[in-house]
Amino acid sequence: MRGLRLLAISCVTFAGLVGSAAAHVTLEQEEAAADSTYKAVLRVGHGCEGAATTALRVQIPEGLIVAKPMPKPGWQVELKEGDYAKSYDYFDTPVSKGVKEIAWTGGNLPDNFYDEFVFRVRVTSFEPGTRIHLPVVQECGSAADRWIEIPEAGKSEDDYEYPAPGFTVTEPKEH
Amino acid sequence: MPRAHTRFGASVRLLALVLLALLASPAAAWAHAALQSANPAPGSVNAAAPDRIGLIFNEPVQLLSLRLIDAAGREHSPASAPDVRDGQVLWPLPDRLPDGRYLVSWRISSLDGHIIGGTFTFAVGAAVGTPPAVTTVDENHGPVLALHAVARLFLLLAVGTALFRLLLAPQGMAPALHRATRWLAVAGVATLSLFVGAEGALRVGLPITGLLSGDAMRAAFGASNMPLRGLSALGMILLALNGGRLWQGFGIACAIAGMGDSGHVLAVLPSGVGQGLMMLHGFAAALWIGAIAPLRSALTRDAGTETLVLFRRFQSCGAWAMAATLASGLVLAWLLLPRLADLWQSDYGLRLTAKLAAVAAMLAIAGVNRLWLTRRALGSRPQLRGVLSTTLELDLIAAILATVLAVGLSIGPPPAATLDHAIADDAYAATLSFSPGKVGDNHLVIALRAKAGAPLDPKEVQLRLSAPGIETIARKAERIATGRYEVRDLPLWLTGPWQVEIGLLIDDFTRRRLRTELTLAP
Repeated sequence: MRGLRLLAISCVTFAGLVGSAAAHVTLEQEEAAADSTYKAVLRVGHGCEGAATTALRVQIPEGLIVAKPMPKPGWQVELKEGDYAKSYDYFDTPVSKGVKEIAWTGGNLPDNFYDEFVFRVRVTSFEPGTRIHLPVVQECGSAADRWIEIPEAGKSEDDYEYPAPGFTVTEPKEH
Repeated sequence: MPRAHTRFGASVRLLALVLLALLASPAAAWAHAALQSANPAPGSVNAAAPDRIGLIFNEPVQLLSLRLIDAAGREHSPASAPDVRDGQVLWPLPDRLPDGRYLVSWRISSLDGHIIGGTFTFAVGAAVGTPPAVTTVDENHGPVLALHAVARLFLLLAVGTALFRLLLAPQGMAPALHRATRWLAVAGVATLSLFVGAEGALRVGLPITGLLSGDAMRAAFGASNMPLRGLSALGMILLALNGGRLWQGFGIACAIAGMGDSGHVLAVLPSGVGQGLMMLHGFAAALWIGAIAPLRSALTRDAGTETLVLFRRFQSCGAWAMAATLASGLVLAWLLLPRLADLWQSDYGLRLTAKLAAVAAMLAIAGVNRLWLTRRALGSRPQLRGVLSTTLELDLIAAILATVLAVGLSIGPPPAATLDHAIADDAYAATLSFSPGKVGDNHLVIALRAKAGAPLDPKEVQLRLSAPGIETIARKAERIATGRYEVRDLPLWLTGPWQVEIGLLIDDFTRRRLRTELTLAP
């Protein structure tokens, strides 16, 4: 009996742990070192309330530079460029503008299928411990789920219905 | 002990298997439950009371709570527990639901532990759908409005002149007063007929030139206020004929009935009371207004003691007429304007303020005449007679203005009573006006003001409301004007406290949230 109870508790705890995070559009890698290149893998596990996903758009926040999407068969990839708020040093080259938004469009990902959307980005010198959020709009035909909620101070992503996927910046690697 | 040990070992293996299965099947773990259909359908009007509530989700769910309440906030949840089978929730309703509107609030946990909830409404009984919007005949057409104003003016002057003759019976003026009454009454009947036809044309969507067409007439005669207008016309015809005092009195009573044909107060007070109040207001105003021109002509005819006596007699009954006009007018204003500030903050209030200004001018003239001018002009200082005559002329102009402005009040409805809540963050300030601001269906108007640089019209304005035991009611607000949004028929059937959240989608990736808490009066 004790074993069964333990099993039940474990399952509930497990479901609770993965549950809130798993229901959303999330990043595979939850950590990235400052001053490093990060491979962002956006995981899409469901459509918009049953409807198939037809487009995914991600906003590249300030401080993430030279973003490059990985081509994806069956999807058109579009880039929106713009000026950064300031100039960044990228291997001794000043960079002041670049990709601000990546959009994968024209695809069809049914609700009962899973897929990943990949891009690479340079994480500039953030303070270790900083949480960076990548707002994502998931379009399903005319409907859309906006994974754009960034937690206010004192709250976590779990407190929101549509949290933006995020990762935490860690100490820079030794060169 | 060994048996227990073995069972424990089996449990651990099972746990490992479950964990492995969960990890290996991301599709299952990522699934997101959503309500796919409900019975009765959200927003539906059902002729027959449903015998159960059915909810169908796209995946197996665990039901956390389910509530059924009526529009008065009363619980109708049956004692029996809902039957949950996979993604289907069935909740038998053993007792027949009385006709009315109901709110279903549900909260579930999906497979992945994600908790979602929602609230929807449905109605039972054919007659209790959403309450019909107050139909406002678009009287906002200049010519129709002008005809109404002229007809009303002739009505008041005809009745007023007849009253003057009947009550004050001035020697030697009777024939002239009768002539004046006759012409005013004939003009009143003519303009009333034109107005009724024009309004009929408007009702059936014809241009004003179609006022004599059969369709316009049919529409006019079909209107609920036609009997009162017919009675008013009959009264004016009686006034035009030179009957005895009894006939004149009867004519006055019938004619003034036309005052009850319209007015926003009719929508506020029970049938009959509103009409009565309008008639009283009109009667008193007619007595006041109708005396001005005869007094002035008496002054020009003969400025002797006879005229002084006439003025004196009018001043005593005129004071009552003014008091009754003002008292009934104030009651009407109090009934229609929820707050004093609406006098200058709403369109209706501004029109009413203009009318009140004209009435104030009339009062000022009456005060000066009564306290100072009349006695001197008709006594010791005849050189002031010209001034008295001019003040009476101004009085008449103010009276005409007040009458026209009174008709102008019908252009738009008075502001509704609202419960206002202001919220702000560093970029936006929003005023939420809930009307009527009491427990029940509420209409919400959101007025947005952007601080420096922010766009006034976001891409989308969302409203989310929840209360203890009532899951989120999520609605998209409709834009009605720049920076103004509305949400109709919000089922706020409990006092709350309601958590209110306005979501402003600034661009595709940014949503601002403004929050407040609201408690409604029962």
